[in-house]
Amino acid sequence: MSEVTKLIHKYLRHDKKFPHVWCPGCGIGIMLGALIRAIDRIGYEKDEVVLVSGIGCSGRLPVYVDFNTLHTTHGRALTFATGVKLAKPSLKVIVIMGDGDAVAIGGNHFIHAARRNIDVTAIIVNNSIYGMTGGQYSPTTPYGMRSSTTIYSNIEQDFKISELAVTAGAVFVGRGTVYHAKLLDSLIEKAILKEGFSVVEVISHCHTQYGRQNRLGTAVEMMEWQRDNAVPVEKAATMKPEELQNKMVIGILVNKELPVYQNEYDKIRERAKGIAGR
Amino acid sequence: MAETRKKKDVPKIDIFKAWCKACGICVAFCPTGVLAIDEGGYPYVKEIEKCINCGWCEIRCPDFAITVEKRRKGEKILEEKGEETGPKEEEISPERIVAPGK
Repeated sequence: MSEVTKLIHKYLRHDKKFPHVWCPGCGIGIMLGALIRAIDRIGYEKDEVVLVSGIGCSGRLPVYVDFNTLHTTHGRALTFATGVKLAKPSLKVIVIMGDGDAVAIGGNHFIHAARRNIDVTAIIVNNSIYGMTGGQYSPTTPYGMRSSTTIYSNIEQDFKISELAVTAGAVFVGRGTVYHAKLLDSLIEKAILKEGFSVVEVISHCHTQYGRQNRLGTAVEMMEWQRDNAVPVEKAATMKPEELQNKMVIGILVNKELPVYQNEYDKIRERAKGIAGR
Repeated sequence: MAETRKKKDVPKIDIFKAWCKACGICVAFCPTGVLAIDEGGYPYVKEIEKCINCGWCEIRCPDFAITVEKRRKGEKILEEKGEETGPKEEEISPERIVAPGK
């Protein structure tokens, strides 16, 4: 067995049912590989890491890996993660969410976690649809696309998750696709190492629901679309806005420093103790 | 160059059929066309001598069902790193075979 697969197997829970639950060719599996490689590269112990997920296809991810894991309610993964981080700041908290989880029902938690700058890493798998529940449209379904609940076409504009995270104040925002899996490794690694609220948006594909309803083809064809429509952030800086329409910019979009919630909270506690002790 | 390479240099590709879901990603994105699809839709190694050991099939496999092993260099890495890189092969393989049946 090769080195890469060996380390993947080091972190899998082999008592769970394999092959995993996701559809053939689903990008979540590729993302799981990238996540494991990133954690292994940093060198954390299994007990140091907490994986929190909500509901949806991506919610199944922590089941398969041997870290501390939490499978929580729909949209509330970030709230549970906030609790874990504040109760035990030494843990590295990674939140796995889908697009519906993060910006639909959990949208409010998402922007406020970013605003507060809590030291958790949010990995958002964006497949543009609610895959598990039957292909209903989500806030990231692009305008004019079909889904089970927009059978004639979607009349709403879509959320751009990374841009939303930038505006909400996340200190690290990266976007990658499952086609560019090695970029994903490094984005996730940097996001985990970053102190503060860091977001990695993973553009994935749901060929079972989104692809089928919009006639976008198989997983392979949808990954080819990702390959052809992704523009590295360095190249995007030299391009005109018209050229960038319908393209997605991948790479590190924001990397800045802001005071982290936990550190500020500790300072306040010290101050309050000082006043009380007077 | 592939023709002139010695046989020992050719990497070894293993496909673990019990975990493979026949999505076709490894075959579609192999840069040199090493892999091909059989009648059942599953990948098989067609022309191993073309393999350039890039490892993309392994990295993009959503089901961790394909492995590429460097023949010569791979042996060296094993000797140097040994225990640290992960559990030994014999520790993994029995679990791996048992797991899908559960």
